[in-house]
Amino acid sequence: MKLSQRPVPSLEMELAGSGLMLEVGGFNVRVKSSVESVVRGLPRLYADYTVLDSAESIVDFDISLNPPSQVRRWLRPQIQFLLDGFSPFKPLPREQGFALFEWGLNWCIANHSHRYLVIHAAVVERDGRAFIFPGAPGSGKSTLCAALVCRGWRLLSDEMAMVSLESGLVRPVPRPISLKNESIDIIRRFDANATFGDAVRDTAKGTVGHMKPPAASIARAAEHARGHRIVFPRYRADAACDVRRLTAGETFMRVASNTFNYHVLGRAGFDALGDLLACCAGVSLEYASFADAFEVIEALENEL
Amino acid sequence: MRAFDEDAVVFDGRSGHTHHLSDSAARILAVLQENGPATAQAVLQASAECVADEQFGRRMLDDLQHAGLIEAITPAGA
Amino acid sequence: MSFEYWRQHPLIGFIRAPEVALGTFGPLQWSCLIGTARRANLMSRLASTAAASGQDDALPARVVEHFASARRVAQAARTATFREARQIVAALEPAGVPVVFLKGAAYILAGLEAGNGRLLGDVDILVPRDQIAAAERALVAAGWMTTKIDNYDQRYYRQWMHELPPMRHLDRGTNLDVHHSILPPTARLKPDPALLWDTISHPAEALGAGVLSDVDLVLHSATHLFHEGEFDNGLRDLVDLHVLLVEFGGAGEDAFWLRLLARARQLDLLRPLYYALRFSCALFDTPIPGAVLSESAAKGPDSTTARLMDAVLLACLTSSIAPARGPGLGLALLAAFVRSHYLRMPTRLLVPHLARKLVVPERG
Repeated sequence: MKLSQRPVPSLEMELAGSGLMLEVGGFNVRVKSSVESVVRGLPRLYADYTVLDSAESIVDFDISLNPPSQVRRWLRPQIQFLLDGFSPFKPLPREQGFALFEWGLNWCIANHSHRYLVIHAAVVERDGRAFIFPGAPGSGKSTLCAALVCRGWRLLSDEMAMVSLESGLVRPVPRPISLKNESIDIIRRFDANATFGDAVRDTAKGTVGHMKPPAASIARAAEHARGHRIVFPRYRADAACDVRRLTAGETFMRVASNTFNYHVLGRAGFDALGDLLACCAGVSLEYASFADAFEVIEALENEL
Repeated sequence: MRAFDEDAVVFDGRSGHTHHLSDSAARILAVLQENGPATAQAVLQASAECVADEQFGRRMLDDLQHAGLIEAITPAGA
Repeated sequence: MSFEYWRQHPLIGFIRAPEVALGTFGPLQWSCLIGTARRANLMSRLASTAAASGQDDALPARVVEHFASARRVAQAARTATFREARQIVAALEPAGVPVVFLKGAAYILAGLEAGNGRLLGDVDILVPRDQIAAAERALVAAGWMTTKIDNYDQRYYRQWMHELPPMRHLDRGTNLDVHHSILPPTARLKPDPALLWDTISHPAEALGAGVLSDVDLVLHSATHLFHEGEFDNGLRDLVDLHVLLVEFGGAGEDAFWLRLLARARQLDLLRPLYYALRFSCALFDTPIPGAVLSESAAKGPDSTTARLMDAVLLACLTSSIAPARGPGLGLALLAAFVRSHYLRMPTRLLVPHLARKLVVPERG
């Protein structure tokens, strides 16, 4: 059963009680929350995800999002993220509850998936070719990722390229795409059909909103993809479109510095990244419009 | 070490660090590794064969020393 | 919550008997196992336990994923430990300071089963008391610096406790605790630290450093757990004890148990040993000979104190995996904290110190 098929009252009861269990990119996630921003955000952005029966499924991450059990309950209402009953982060204002869920789940996955190189990158795929976009905040990778997805590319992730140490393939974990500030309006204008959750102002990253991932991407979450190109994007308004090929060594070092768990994996990480680069050349792309970026990406698709 | 067409990367197991080697340095290192441990003198000689530029050889020696790799290939010291 | 309750807990049951767990666990138990193991820093330990008992193939695929990921982290910890040990020995050897590695680092360097799947937040070492200043100078020269700069805390560590304030390496960011004894000199029990040095061994892999003898490793672990009042890794530390005891004393190694009791008597550590044996056996069925348990209990507290301590210590040891933090748990943790400070510092110093600890916020 998909979450969209669950009546809202029973959904709220589950969230407030023993928890709602969802399958998210192969991870079984149990969520408990009575906070409005979470209770509203889940049915809207996770509508196409499968609901699991907690008596039958093993839980990977047991998450709760609730007010911290102290004084500040009424002063300035807050919300805290707990994994296994333990809080890895400071509480946030309660309206940011859904964003906290997303950031928290990213953290859970990135910190506990060491059978993979976990690269801070967006990943999309078309015709069996996966494009990996590593990017520091501000590179525009999430916006570019959202635009590609709106144009029909399969979403593997907006945040984490998970490259299997064993197979070398990228594992999809399709999730709502996190967008900030002007990017939200840009994508709304780019695609009128894009569905968004509530935007939240005044977070540490500015205004944050989430775009609902396509049902088709969620349905294909078990389909791992082969890497084709690694593209380092940089959005610059009014810049001429500039594509530069990077040497494999340069690409290696830049990807390694964007890999959350590179130092944990040691030699195994070095080898896996070397293997990835054997099939996946690196390119840096400076662009001012989606049209320019799409043209470059299509050209790269046609290369071997 | 992983060598690519134009350059190479090296994993130093002792420190856990990864180093980026430019093209010629990578080729020279590969030659040295094939032929067993070498002194700094041999590094300079090999570099002279691969690249006819003694300055380059010395710079590369610096690179390799800085990356902690000279120790691995000169057990007896330079 | 009693011993019987906690023995049924999936995490404790799995450590005690993985083959039974595999035969009886359903999704609810596996979910509980994953969540509590992660919370208690025991996931990689479970992976080692499963591998050692040949049960890998029977695990559900989802559990295998978690175990495999945790194994990677433990491998990284192992590599980092050897790297740190090399650096520490390189810093102290020229200064003529002998060094003994303690706890997690020791288990890893000595190739013990307790070192498999072991993670560590810092490295603990022991140096002779009369060389502590030389040790500090050598370490600072090699790039370590003291953290915790508050003057009171500096005095607390140097004057009253058995260690330097925690140190951190400037480049590598690794943490180092330098001890010169395993109990503070101001404590009521007074073992002679020099005795520890008589029986240290030098495993080849430890690169010139020493580790304590088997009985001393057990006694240090027991003392650290049952006298320090810090239970953040209480369950993990108890599991260490269980695994050490199985390795050293299992398979009819009677001589080990006799030496353990004798050494505990000699170092005046019979009380922490009593608790270690009692709790390890009660939760994990550690194969301790009955005669050893009886003799150790004879040196234990009176029955009223024993029952109270059972409840307090059990609550503290399981605090990381307890379902909810009720008021009883808070009191138990406080009681254990106060007790451990009682054991470490004379009363006249205890009250001002505790009051200060509650008021002055810890600096990062």
